[in-house]
Amino acid sequence: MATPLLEIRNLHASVDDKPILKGLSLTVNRGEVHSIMGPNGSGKSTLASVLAGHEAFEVTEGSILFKGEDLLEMDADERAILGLFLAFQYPVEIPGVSNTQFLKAAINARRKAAGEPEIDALAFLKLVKDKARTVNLDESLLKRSVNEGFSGGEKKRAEIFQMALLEPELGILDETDSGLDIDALRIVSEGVNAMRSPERSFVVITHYQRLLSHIVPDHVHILMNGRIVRSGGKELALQLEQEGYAALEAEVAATA
Amino acid sequence: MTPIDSTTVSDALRLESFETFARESIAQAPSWIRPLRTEQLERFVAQGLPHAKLEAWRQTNIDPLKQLALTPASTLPPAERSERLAVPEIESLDAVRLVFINGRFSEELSAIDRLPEGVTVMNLARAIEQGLPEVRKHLTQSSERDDVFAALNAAMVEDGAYIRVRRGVCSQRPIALYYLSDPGEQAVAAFPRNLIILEESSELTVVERYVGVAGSVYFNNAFTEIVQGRQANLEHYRLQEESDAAFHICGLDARLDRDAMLAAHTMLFGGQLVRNNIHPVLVGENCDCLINGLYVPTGRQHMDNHMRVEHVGTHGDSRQYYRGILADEATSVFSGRIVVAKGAQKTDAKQTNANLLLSERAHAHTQPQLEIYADDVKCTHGATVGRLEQQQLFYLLSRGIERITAEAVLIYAFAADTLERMRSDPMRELLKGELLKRLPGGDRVAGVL
Ligand SMILES: Nc1ncnc2c1ncn2[C@@H]1O[C@H](COP(=O)(O)OP(=O)(O)OP(=O)(O)O)[C@@H](O)[C@H]1O
Ligand SMILES: [Mg+2]
Repeated sequence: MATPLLEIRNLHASVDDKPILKGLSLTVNRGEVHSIMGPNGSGKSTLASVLAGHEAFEVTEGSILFKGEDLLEMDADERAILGLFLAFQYPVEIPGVSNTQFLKAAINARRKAAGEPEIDALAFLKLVKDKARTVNLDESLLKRSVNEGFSGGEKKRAEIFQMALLEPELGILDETDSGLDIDALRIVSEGVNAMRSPERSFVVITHYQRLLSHIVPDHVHILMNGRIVRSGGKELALQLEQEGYAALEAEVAATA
Repeated sequence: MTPIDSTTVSDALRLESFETFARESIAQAPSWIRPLRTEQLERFVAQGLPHAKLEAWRQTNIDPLKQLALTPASTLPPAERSERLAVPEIESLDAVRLVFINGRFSEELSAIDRLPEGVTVMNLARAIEQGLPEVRKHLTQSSERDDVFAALNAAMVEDGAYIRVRRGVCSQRPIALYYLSDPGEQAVAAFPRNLIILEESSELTVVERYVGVAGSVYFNNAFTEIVQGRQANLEHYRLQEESDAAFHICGLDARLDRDAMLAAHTMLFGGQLVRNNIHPVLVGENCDCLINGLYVPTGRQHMDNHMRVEHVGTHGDSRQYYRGILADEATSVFSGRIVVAKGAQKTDAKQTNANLLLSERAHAHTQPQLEIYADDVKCTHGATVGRLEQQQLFYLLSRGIERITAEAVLIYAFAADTLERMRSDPMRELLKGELLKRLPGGDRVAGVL
């Protein structure tokens, strides 16, 4: 069997000495879409941050392999270059840094790592235009500082736009659906679906079945208290939506 | 001006024993200026050198300066050029050029040509020699009463630039003053002074640029005196790139008549001990004053910014924006005082100071002060001291941008507003380059901007 794109084994992570992830395992093969659902505070964003390489989170146990390489040995920028992308739950505003500068720096970092020359101005403009169109992002937003003054929905769309520009092999979407209205949700989902390929995988973090009816997952996992307590197919999301976490929690407690 | 015969004075002296030397120097000056210089000398002597107990000097220890054996620049033979320093000319500015070496005018390196009609430019020594009426009237008149280094500069005044723009004249050409310090083995003390007079409805851009031979120790006590008539508009830039071992104490005093506009931009990069005194007085009504600055100390540099913005006329508008980027063990002070006099109603005064610490060992002191004697005014101030925002850094890293680039991008972004406020494109571009040159990873940002 081919090497999985992502392989998380028995992951334990803490922030400020407080354990958040407590033995999480997950395998994502190429071409798959996995959804992670779970109550507030269960550790979903923590998982995303640990994967992306945020230094505030300390991995105390376990391992993560990405494309067969030890992800925990790498800095956040190296992980991105290797093909990992996190669409943030709360995209960060960076006043004084223009979107254009930022995007160009991100694209050129990749090209440099691949031994390619910097992107020329015309190609860059065209690329930005094309990708902005795929998520219906108002191009005038790109004249502003990174995410500055963007509405919640605009921020989320900009994240997917960046993902489309950077073409990662693994896209981690942390609650990209929150803050999006029905139309925007559809557009963003189409953007993601257009990127689906046998080589590329996604981890979609969400609270709602709604998103998953657009981006249909191959696997659904329920994260509770820092662990995956249940995995199943897309029907698990429906079941969760109908029954809520409480029922599941009771069930988990009973079988524990 | 004739240099003082070096046999009449000891070669080197400490700041505290400048009095005798100053008296000898004054005795050889043109007679009209002697009383002015003597008065300032008396003030210097009466006040004495600052010490840590004085409120205005609490955070800045000048002991290393006091201990220095100084050689007054006027005791050296005048140098027409420097072997070790090229004039850091800002070509794109296309400015009238005055070059000074160790505080004294170099005719050879200067180019006072294509002067716009109605603009007078010459070195101050010559203007003093000639005893020009405007010089007699204004020189040393605006010095702040309690600034002992302003007094010392005035007591020692010999050379610098004299600029006068006549009523209604808008000078298309900026005037650039290049102060080169090449002190050799001695710790040379120079006291350059600039007098800038803008008559009613005139307009001008002036640039002062200070550079020194890397690693050399010297004392530059520079002072710029500005007199603006009604509706006169001055854009002033001070770019300080002294040697990292130098002592640089500078002052800028301005008096603004009705409807006058002053934009004073400062960038501080060099000097082991820097004191930057800025003191505009908005005398007439409806004046507009922008004080914009950036200080970037590294290593063990100490930069002290001392602002005093005085509102006297009504409807005055002043904005102070000072930002500091501190690395290593650098320290800085920002002391910003807004004084609103009793009759200065409808004053709108704003002051902000933000500091970015790049190291655990760097320290920024910030101290906004308001002194308000009028009741119908709007005054705001704010100060911050912070570090690079970790979430912002992570966001950039997560897009594959290398740490050194990401940090430089964020540091540059912190300073970007300061640069944006500069109206002169050549100056903004120059200062942007100077800043990036000094930031770790700055060369990478340059490619991105
Ligand atoms: N930087 C941090 N510092 C301290 N505690 C943190 C930090 N980040 C997360 N936590 C804590 O870790 C726990 C898990 O948070 P996390 O953000 O991973 O949850 P989540 O599943 O994404 O929740 P939500 O559905 O609300 O987004 C919470 O108790 C949270 O308070
Ligand atoms: Mg979350």
